[in-house]
Amino acid sequence: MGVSSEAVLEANGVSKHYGAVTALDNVDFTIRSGEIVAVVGDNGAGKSTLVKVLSGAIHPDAGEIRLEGQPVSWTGPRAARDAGIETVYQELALAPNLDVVSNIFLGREMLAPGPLALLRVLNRDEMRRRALSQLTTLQVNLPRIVGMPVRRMSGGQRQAVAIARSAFWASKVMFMDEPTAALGVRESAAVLRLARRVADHGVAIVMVSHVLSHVMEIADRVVVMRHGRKVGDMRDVKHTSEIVALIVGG
Amino acid sequence: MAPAQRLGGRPEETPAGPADPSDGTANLPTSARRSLRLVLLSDRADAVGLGTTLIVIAAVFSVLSPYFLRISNLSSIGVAISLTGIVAAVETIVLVSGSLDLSFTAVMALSAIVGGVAMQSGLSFWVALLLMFITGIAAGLLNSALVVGVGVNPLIATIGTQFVFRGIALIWTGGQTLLVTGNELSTLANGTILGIPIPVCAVVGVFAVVALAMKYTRFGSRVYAVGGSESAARLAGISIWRLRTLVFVYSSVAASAAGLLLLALSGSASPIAASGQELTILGAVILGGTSLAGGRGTVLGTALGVMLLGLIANGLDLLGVESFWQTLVEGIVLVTAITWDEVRRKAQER
Repeated sequence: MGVSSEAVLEANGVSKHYGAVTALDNVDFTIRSGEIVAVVGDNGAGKSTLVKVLSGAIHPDAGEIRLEGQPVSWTGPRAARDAGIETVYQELALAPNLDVVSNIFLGREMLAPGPLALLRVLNRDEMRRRALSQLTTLQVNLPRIVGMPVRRMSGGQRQAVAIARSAFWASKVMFMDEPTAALGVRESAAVLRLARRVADHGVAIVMVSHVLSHVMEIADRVVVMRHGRKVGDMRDVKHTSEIVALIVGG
Repeated sequence: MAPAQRLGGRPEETPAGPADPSDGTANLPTSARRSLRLVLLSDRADAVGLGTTLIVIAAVFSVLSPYFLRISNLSSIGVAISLTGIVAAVETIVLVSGSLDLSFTAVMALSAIVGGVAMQSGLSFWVALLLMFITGIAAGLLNSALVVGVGVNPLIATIGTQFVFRGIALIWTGGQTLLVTGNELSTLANGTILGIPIPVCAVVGVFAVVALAMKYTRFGSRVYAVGGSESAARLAGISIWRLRTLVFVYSSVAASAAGLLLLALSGSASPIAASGQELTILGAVILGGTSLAGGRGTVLGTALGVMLLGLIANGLDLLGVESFWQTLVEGIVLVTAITWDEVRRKAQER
């Protein structure tokens, strides 16, 4: 599945202020299904604020957000999730003492059918089956998905679980915040390949990253933020120096 | 599409760090050492270890006292641990959720007084029962308001409410013990179901319900999740305040149920009933493998911990040992349990 021509998520003229500080200044942003867009910039450039606005975590002070062409105003991240928008947080947000299946269905557990649903009995078999199907589709191999707490897994495996979870629920857009920041070379490469497979299944991915080499490797487009403004929206970047020049300005 | 890749390597390939000669595994290869440590620190190992200790201690007491293994004595043990067992079972939920409730003995006493006063006033047993459970719900909501609403540390909050509930009980009764009788209370205390005393059936029933809920229901799964990582649970959309409120209410309602049993078994309601037993009961829960840090623990482990303490108390009684020694033994058990909990927590972080 390639990149579609229609924008799945758009931000038009969004601004956000925190007192006297302008975190976002009249920023436009678009992303299409199956596309991977990297958002880069120095500390305080507005990357995190832009992602929070796009993912429904905060409201912009000005501008609008459109999802599949329709204006939206989410009441919070839960509403955005219900609309098919998921986030892979930098700290992963996995429950370390739960297994892979429990983490994938955390907060969205499947209940057993019939009278057992009244007692909120879990449908573990169905959850395991669906989780396994998702992991197989994304070609994620894990030692055990049931009965083994994720804290016993390596950093790369935990990142893979977090990505697989978001991809499982994300029908439209997935945000990834510094997905390779804490990983070694081999694990980073595997995570990036996983992200590409998720995008190949039609999910749009917005990735915030400081690691420009990873950005070059995976992103279809690079959006550069500086002092709350979008200063670059580049395709076919040849060298990281082009990105750095926009990040530092001048 | 790229061929399947194994992400991150196997956990065993992660360097385990310098060998620790004190854990008995220094001569083993790194992966085997790590696997052995994980097995020794597992919940199953806790249960096996505790179960073995239980059997050994029972064997020792049965040798030292000819009365220990008599049905009547075993029945006494069952009845004696029914009160602590009911609160310990539900306290397991509280600890697994990452919180703590030390007010349960005070709620037990206050609920017994509410029930006792109601029955002495001529109200029916069932109305008195309803009032007792309302007391439990109110106590749980107060604890929740402080811990979840205001954000007070649960240890401090529930120590404080413990004094509040005791204070109310003392003021209400003028420090006196109420004598309460009734047919229903008598049936509760002396009745049997299939030959098993009702208090024992009650504690077994509570353990079974809690165990099933923790293992098979969404509530149980979310309790473990919140205890393991409250932030992860919150980001997953789980309502933390709702879950913690439910946990505190369940804890206090269980304490009220124990108060009912206390009323039945003792025929009285004392404002200082069960005073000072909070840490002993907590010790039984931690001894059973539940972590003070949250996210870990099983009801089976708590049951074994409660039985172990009950066996020790009964055995020392039969041997005519002074109660001061029991206090020492309970203290040793509590210190051992907390130390093992900390050792295990640190080992898992490595």
